[in-house]
Amino acid sequence: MNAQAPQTPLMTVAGISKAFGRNTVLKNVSFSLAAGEVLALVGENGAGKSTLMNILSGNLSYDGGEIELEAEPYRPAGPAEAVRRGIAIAHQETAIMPDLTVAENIYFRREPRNRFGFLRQRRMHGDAAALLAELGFAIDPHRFGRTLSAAERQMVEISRALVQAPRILVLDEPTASLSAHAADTVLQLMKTLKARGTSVIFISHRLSEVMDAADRVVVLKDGEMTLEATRGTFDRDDLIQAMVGRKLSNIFPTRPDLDASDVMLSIEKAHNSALPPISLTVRRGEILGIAGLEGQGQKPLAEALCGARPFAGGTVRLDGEPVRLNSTAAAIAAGIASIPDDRKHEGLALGLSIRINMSLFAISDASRFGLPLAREREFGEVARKRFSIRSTDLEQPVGELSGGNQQKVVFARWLARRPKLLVLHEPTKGIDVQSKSEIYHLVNELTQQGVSVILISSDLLELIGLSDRILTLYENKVTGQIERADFSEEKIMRLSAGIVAEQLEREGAEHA
Amino acid sequence: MTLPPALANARPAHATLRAMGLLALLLIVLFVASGKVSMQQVLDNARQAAPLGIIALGQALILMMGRLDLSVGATAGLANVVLASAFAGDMSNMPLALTLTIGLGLLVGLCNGLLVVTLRIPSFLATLATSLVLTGGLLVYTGGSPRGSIPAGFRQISEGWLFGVIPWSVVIWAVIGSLLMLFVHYTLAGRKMLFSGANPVAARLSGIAAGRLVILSFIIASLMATLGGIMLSAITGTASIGIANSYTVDTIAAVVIGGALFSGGVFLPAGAAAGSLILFFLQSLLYVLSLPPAARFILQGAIIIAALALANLKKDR
Repeated sequence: MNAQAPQTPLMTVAGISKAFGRNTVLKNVSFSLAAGEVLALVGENGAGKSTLMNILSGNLSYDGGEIELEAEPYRPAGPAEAVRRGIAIAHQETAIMPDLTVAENIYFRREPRNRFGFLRQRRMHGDAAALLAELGFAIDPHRFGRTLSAAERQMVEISRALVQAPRILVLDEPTASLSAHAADTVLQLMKTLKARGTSVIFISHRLSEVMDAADRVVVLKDGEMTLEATRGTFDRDDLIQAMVGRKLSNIFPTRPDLDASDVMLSIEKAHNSALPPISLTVRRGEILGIAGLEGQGQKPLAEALCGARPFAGGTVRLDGEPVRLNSTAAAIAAGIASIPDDRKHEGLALGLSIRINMSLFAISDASRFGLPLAREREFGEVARKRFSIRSTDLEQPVGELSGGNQQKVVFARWLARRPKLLVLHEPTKGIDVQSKSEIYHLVNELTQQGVSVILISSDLLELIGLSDRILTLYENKVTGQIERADFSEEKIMRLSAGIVAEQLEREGAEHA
Repeated sequence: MTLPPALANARPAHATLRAMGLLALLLIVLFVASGKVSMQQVLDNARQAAPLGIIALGQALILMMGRLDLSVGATAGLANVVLASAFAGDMSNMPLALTLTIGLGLLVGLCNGLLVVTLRIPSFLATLATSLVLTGGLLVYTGGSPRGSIPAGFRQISEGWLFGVIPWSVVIWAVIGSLLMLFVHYTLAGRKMLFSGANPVAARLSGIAAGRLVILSFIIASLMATLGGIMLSAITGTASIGIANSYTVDTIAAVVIGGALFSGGVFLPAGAAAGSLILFFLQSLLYVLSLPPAARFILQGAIIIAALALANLKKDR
C-alpha cells in the first residue's frame, strides 16, 4: 500500500480513545507510522490533536485501544518514559527558561557534568553551537532565553527535543510563529531527519506544508479520525473536507458584491508606540480581513481600534466623522465593537451568569441609575434564542459553557450596542464548526445591515471564506492587499512573510 | 416556576445559605451546651457583633473587587479616638464629631483607592501601609492616652432597643447591609462594579471606568469601617488605642465564611452578616464551655477551613 515504507511499522496506534470526565476528546483513532516517515496531524482547534500528541509524549494516559512501539505495548507513565522509548516532543508554546542560555535550555536536565557534579559549561555551549549549526539554526548558544524571538524559541525547543536522540520526533505546530524562510528551514530539517531514519509527527494548520512534507496524513475532527491517507492519495480539498466535515461552501455565507458602497472607516497614518503609521479603509458592509504570522501587529491594531491602547497620532474617520479613540469608552461611543481574541481573560467574567455577561450594554443604554431587570431578562431570552446559545438557563455561569457558546455571549453583549464597525480578533479560536458557521452567518447578516467588519485572524480558511479583501501585516506594517478574486493561501502566506506586494508582482511578471 | 426578575435577582446564593446553615448549627450547639439560650441573648450577641458586621460589609465589597483592605481595623480605631475626643462627653458636639469622624474616614478610603489605582500598589500592601500610618499617627496625636468620651445619649445607638424588641445597632446594621445590597445588585453602578471585580480587563475593554469604581469601593469600605468604629465607640463609651485592630483579620474571616472569593466577583452581604455572627457566637460558646480565649483562634481557623472545604466539595460535584 505504501511504497515508501514497506517494512513493518515503527509504531501502530490501534483504536485509542480518551475522555476527560464525560467529555470524549478522542474516539477510536488508528494509524501507523514507519521508520523515517513524516506524518502530518491535521485538524481544527479542539479536534483532539494536542490530546493525541500528549498521549504519545507520555503527558496523558489513554483509556481504550492499544499503541505498539517496535512491536511492544506502549503505555508511558510519563514524559521521561516516552523519551526512554524514543519519543520526544517539541511543544508549540515553548517552555524556554528566560534566565538560562540557549545551550542550557537545550541541555536542560541532561547537562554534561564533571565527576564532582559541576556543569561543564564550555563543553555544553560548544556542543550546542555544533548542534544548532548542524540543524541550520543561526542562534548563538550563549544568548539568554529571554532575548529570543518566538521563532528562535521554537528552534531551541526543536533542538532540545533532538538532543534526546528520538526515534520519533513530535512537533506541535512548529511553523506557526515562523516566517516563510524559517519555516522552510524547519521543513528542510524534517527531510534531513527522515533521511536519517527518524520519524516525524507534526501538527500544522498550513495545508501547503502538509502537502509538501507529509508522507502520511491523519485528519481529526471532534476527536474522530476522518481521514488517514498516504502521499499522493489525497489533495487539499480532501483535507479541508475531512477537517471541517462538510463542504466549505456550507460553512461560509455567500458574500454579496459591494462595489457601490461608501467608506465606513478610514485610518490615515495613525500610529502609536507599538504601531508604525498605518493607513486603511473599510467600506460600509465590507469585511476586511487582516492576515499575518503571529505577533506582526495584529494585537496593537486591535487594541488601538478599541481604545485600549489608543493611536497617538494620525486621523481616524468613522462614517464620515473624525473620531478620537482615546479610551475604550470613546471607541464604544463612536460605534466600534471589539471582540477580543482571548475571550476568557478579556471578554467574559467566567464566574458570573450569562445574563450579567450578556446584558452589560443593553442595560446601560436603557437606564442611568437603577437596573432595568425586567428588560434585562427579556433581552437575555431574546438574545439566547437569536444567537442559539445552548445553556440550562440565563443564570448559568458563563464559565460552564462551551467555547462557541461563550463567544456567542460576547457577541450578544456587543451587538446590543448596534455598532457601526465590528473588530473581530480571532473570533472563532477554539470553537466547534457548528458555532463557527453560525458566527460567520451572523457576521454576514450584520454586514447586510451596513455594519463594517475588520476580521483579524490567523485562520486562512476563515480569512478566505469570509473576507471581501485581505490586508497582510508583517513586522507591524501592511505588506499587501489582496482582492477577493485573487485570494489564495500561497499569496497570503508570501505577503505575510514580508515579501512586499511589488516584489510579488515583479516575480509574477518574470514568470509570464 | 420563574420568579419575577427583581426577586430572582435577590435569590440567596448557595454560599449564603451554607453560612447561614453553619450559623444555625452553631446556635444549636450553643443551646445544647448551655441548656438555656433565649432570643434576648441571641439578639444581645448580635448587638455586640454589629460593629464587626458593618465593617465586614465594606470588606465584602473590597473582596468583590478582587482586592483586600488591611486598614479597616486602624480606620475603625481612628474613628473611635476622633469621635470620643470631638464629643468630649457633650451631646451638643454631635454634628461636629460625626462630620469630623466620617470626613476623616472618607479621606482614608480615598487615599487607599488612589494608592491602589493611581500608584498601582497591590491593595494589601497599600492598605497595610495606610494602617501603619494611621496607627502611628494616632499614637503621636494622643500621646498614647486618648481623651474624651461618648455622651450617654449617643450611646443609645448601641445600648438602646427599638420597641424594646430589637437593638438599634442591629437595625442600623440591617439597613446598611440592605442599602449596599441594593446598590450592588440593583443599580447600574453596582452592576459595573460587580463585573469589573469579576474581570477588570474585560470591564475596561467594555468601556467601564474600572479604576474609578475601585476607588469608590475603598471609600465605601473606609466609610463602613468608620461607621463600625462609631458603633464600637457607642458600646465602649471611651476612646482607647488599638481597640479595633482585630477587626482587620476578623472581617476577612467573616466574609470568607460568608462565601466571598479572593478572586472577586462575589458580593453576599447576608453571607458576610452570617459570618460575623458566627465569629461572635463562637466566643459565647467558648465562654459557655469555659475554654481559654486562645481557643477562639483555633476554632475560628477551623471554621474558615470548614466553610471553604464545604464550598469546594460542592464545586467538584
